[in-house]
Amino acid sequence: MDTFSLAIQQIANGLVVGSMYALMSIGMMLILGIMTVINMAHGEFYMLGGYFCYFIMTKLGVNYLAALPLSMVLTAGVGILSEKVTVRPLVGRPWFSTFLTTFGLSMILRDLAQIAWGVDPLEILSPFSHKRVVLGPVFLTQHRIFIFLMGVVVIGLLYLFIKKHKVGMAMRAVVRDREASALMGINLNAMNSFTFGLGASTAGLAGALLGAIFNVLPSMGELPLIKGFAVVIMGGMGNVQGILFSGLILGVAESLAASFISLGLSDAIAFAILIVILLFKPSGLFGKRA
Amino acid sequence: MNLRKPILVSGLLLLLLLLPWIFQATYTRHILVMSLIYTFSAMGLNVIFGFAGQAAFGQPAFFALGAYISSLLALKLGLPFPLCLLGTMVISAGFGFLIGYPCLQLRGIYFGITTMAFAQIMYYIVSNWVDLTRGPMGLVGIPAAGFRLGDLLQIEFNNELKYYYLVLAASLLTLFFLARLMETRLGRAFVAIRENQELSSSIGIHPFWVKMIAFMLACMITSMGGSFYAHFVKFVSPIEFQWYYIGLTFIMVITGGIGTIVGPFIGGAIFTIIPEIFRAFETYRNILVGTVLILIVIFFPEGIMGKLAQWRRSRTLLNSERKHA
Repeated sequence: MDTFSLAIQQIANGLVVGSMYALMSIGMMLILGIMTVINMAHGEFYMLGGYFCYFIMTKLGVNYLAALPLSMVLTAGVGILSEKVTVRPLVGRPWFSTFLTTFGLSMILRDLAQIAWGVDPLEILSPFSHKRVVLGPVFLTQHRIFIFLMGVVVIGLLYLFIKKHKVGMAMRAVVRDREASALMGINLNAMNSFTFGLGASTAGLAGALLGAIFNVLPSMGELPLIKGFAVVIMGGMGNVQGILFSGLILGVAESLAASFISLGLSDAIAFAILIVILLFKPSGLFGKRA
Repeated sequence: MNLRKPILVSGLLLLLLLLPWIFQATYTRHILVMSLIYTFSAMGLNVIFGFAGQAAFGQPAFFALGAYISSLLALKLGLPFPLCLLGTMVISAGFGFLIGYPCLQLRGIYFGITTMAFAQIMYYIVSNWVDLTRGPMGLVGIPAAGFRLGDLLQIEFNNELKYYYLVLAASLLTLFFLARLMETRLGRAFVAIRENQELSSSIGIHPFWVKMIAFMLACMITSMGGSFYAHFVKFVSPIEFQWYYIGLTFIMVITGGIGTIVGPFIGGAIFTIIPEIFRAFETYRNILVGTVLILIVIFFPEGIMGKLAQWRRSRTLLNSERKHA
């Protein structure tokens, strides 16, 4: 394979993974923007999404396509509960308080998963895993194409939801001014629960989708969490498109680095990008934040 | 606690000096040394988080970094212990600068998460740079701490007891240094930035550089703990970078009392001993630490020293009311 087609192939792979980074980060951005909470347990929601999907498929015998929404519902439930325990009691306290409680939650969830399900990686069997698709010089499995489409479609739907739907508008209002929007009749507690549930379910979806490529294990959420932060900072706060593009850029940069520089260093690319952006454009690539 | 109360201070000092004689078993002495070692982590984090008010979440990772730097200085360059310790402090402060420079472009929440991201980078570099760090296998055969001045003076800190006094001296010196620092212009600048960055810059404090100094100082102090750790346990591995230790360090600082001088020292000592007691529940330790962290942040955010201060304030208030009555 010549360099050019290798590059094209890696860009395609990068777009697939990048769409999932974006899906992870959307939830983190919403939680951060609406509640000023850094959700350190977001990687664990991702991990739980993978496990839920696996167990729904193996224990209940449900097929993959039906298991995806079910695992989203379950992770949303975990998300809503988590918000009740780790964020709700801390309203009005310094912002780092919720960082620490969600950090504690992340440690708890990860070890609970390890105790309950062991450290051995589990494989989610996607019906499209082994079907190859050839698009010019690019070889992909159907599953990878499915992941990319899911990522883009879900993010697109979220975009429309936030732009057009009444609840979405309420979310934007809360980001603008918490007190004023409460005075206008927005129920902040309900909004917080909803945001956490939504964020958790999108992270869970990403876990269930990528779990079919990379397997499911208790520590799988660690890197996506940190990369999710990188994407949030890259994207700049407050816009969904920025997150999508940043996620895709990161995914592509990583997979190009993996094949042209070094496989071991590909994870460091996120951080290199992060440093460059912090030094030269701290407001993010697409952001307006001061 | 006030350092100017001579009776209280000398009583506590005496207790600290006698502790290894009260608990004579090697194992308990080992725990005593470890708890002193972790006070460096707590004191370091307290400088940036407590005094300067910057929630540098990843900062505790400098403990592990310090342990690695010190071991590498000893193993690769064959430096004697005092130079390893000094080198670790200088190099860690350098890393603090390199990491602080990009991170401090941001404020508040964004600063916090980027330091966390850098803690993770350090972890990946240390676990993947096998040629230098032996990756997940860790570094072994780190020499014991020793001190040598010609043929005249030669001390080898080769048992728990000697090491206890070495670390005790170093940690008390650090504590004393911090207490004095907080009375200087620089120390007050830390607090001014914590309370209100805009106002502080209006009175001629340069927030970026003051925060940078606080961050570098924090990294330096934390890494000293790492250096003592490496030459005591004689083995370091990337496990030292785990979230468990970051969580634990925050617990230490918060239980002791954020932004107090003695609090983190006490918190550091207490929260090294407690996990040791629960060693049997090794599999559950992250669950325990996570739960304790959540409970402390929700129910006990003022910490021991904060509670003491509250209690003292209410007592003086009560006394003055009695006088007026």
